[in-house]
Amino acid sequence: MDTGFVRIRRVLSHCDRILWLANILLVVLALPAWAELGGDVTSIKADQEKMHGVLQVTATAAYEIHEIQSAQGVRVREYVTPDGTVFGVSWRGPWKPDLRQLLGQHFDRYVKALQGNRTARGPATIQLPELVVESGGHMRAFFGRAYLPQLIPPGSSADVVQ
Amino acid sequence: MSRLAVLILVGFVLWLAGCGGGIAPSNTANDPPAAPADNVATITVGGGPAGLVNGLFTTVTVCSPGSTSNCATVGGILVDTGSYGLRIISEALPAGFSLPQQTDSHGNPIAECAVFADGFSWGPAVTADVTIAGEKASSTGVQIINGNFASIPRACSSGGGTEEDTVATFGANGVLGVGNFVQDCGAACTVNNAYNPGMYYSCPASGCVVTAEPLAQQVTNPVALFPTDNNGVIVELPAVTSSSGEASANGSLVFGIGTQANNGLGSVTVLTLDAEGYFTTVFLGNSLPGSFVDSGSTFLFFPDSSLKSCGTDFDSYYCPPSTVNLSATNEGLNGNRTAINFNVTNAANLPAQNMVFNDVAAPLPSTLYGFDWGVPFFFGRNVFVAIEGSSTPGGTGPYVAY
Repeated sequence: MDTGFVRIRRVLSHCDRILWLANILLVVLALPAWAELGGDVTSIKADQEKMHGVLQVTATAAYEIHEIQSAQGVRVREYVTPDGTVFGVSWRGPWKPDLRQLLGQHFDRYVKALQGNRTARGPATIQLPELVVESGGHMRAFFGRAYLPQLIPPGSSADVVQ
Repeated sequence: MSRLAVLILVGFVLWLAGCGGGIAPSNTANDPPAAPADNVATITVGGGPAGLVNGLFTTVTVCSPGSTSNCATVGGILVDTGSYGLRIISEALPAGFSLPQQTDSHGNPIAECAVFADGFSWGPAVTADVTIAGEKASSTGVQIINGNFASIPRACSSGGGTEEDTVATFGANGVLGVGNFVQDCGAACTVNNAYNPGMYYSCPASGCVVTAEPLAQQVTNPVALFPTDNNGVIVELPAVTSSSGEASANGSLVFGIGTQANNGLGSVTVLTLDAEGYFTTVFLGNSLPGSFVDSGSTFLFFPDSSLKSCGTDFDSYYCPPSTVNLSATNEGLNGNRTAINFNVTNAANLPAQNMVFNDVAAPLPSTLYGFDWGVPFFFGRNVFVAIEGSSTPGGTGPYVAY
């Protein structure tokens, strides 16, 4: 999929730089937050300002990847359709990101789908027609992704969310 | 006969010999300087207290620090090489039993949000002496899992998944984390600023807020705190020979690597791990750099789009029409490689009365980039788990070897 990349740009506005320096001085108290699955792309930047990291945007012909690397070592990627909707998210790092924020309105559905007594321990996967969430790893090392199958752009597939 | 039983029997025979006065053979004249610690705990694969298929269980004793009377012995504790430290479900402890609550500098109780791949567990952090077999970790952080403690902060449940705060929802009476790391969080949780990932909370009456937790108070892999045999563990389980599973299987959790006559490395291959505890598994031509062995995962979890999944009722398992033989190669950071052969059977056709299976697997998409080698991997192997920073005859941890 790398061949589809047409541009890479860093999004670091004046305000972002100030915030970044503030982070270095350990005085920012806001907790990390991200745009939500199914939400509008314009919220990513506002959310990124609350997160302790740098946003990098990579565009392909079919979608954009907004990648945030947090100071805590957690990497979040958000996959955005040409019309500006987040259709997939992924995460990797020593801690899970705030999935309530990242999954947005789909979080409660995800939690409800997993409820019940344990019949297995390990990765947790739900595959609903409208929502797929996959969470793996172990303590101090987690990875996972979520996507909305019906919003995957034409010519693309769920495999791009990684 | 279990290794523990053998040790007890040998000890009894030696004691008899000592009582006999002068009947000991001459080649025992040079007595060893001190008896080594009993470093073998019995482990059992079976359903445990909540009917968890392929649950790997042991028994631990917790006491108030320094006490020999305020103690509780709890079985049905998962042996987990994918986490660090002891956690016990509150309801599995005897009524009225309690351990000293950890507090912050203002006297507020400390609680923890422990996060697993499939959910989270909430409850107070206490301090306890932890004894397993003949080994003791003194005054270490332990979590008592209790969803009714204070009120669960929103940030804790935001990690997603199931609230695993009861024996039924956790699948066990608790978990003994004996993996490659020392603490369950580490340095990141010792800071009082926005970079703290939020595992430890201070809980005044107004509600729980993220707090710094010093390393010495964090919930800690007890093995790292043993006076001896503290550089890692061996999980030893027999092979499962029946393709339809077994009712139960017994093995040993051996403490220490190369510290006693019973825990030498032998001819195993050492796979060193990256900062997150991963090695690489090459499977079906894909390189999966987020791979790990995990006795707390009850099955094998890996990506294979050619294997049929079980459909909606058993969505998270593979159900090939007949058992398939597969192979993969594990590669450590040090470049050492080993090939693994394994079977995957139809999970929907397994006899309900059996609790031990070496051929049950479930899908993970290749895009998730990891192969989770759960309990089936451990059957028929001695798996060495070396703790970060510890010296062993096989090098410095973290590594896994088998």
